[in-house]
Amino acid sequence: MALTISIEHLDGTTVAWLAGDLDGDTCAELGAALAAEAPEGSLVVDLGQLTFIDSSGITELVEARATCVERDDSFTLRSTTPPIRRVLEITGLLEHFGLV
Amino acid sequence: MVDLEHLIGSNEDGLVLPIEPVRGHLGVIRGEVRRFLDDHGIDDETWLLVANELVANAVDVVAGADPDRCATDGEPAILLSLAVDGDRVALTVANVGPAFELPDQSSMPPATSARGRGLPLVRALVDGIRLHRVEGISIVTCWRAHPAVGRRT
Repeated sequence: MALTISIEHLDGTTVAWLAGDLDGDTCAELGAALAAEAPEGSLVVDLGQLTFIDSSGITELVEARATCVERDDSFTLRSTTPPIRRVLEITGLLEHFGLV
Repeated sequence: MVDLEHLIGSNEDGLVLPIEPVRGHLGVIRGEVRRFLDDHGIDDETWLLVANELVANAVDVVAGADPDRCATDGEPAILLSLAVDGDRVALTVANVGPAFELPDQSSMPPATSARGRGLPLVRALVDGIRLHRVEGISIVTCWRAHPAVGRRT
């Protein structure tokens, strides 16, 4: 399944809703969308409709968080489903993303 | 003459997929893996991720290498083979190109790292994994037991 990204701006916070598959072929779309539509302010990435993530997708989330941290903005991952959470757990990133 | 299928052995009842060493096919490959496992009554999403990571690695190896080292005379540069073998599923991904190493068990990179999670992730997901190199071909084989093997649902 392809990746769908919906961006919403709410009071200085950007929410990026991801649906579909975040993999090595689609992860650049997320980087480009965030650079274009969330250049500043807090960022929330909602993974509730994400059906698949691979190591490249994980890297994209790591980089999105790093970009926010660099500019002193908050970064939140939310609505992780069990399959996505499992990959974050194995890669040792639950704590990094504030999910424990 | 490169003949990956000969090197990895026959897989008559399994899934054999020749793969182009270019990006953009991961979703299709996962779909093929899912269909094969569904046909065998196996519900294990793990294989989608394992196949995805091994293919992405192979594509990176071939695409990043000197084309002269990856010449295949029209034969596929990457081959995926998936089979149900008794109480386990076995996946093999073979590719031409320069050698690479499998990471150690505990080699997940630090949280801030931008790279290097693919093969450690595979390692964590399977019961066993082996890499060997034959005639300039890298062959990764991994396997994982599954209770639903052989049971049609």
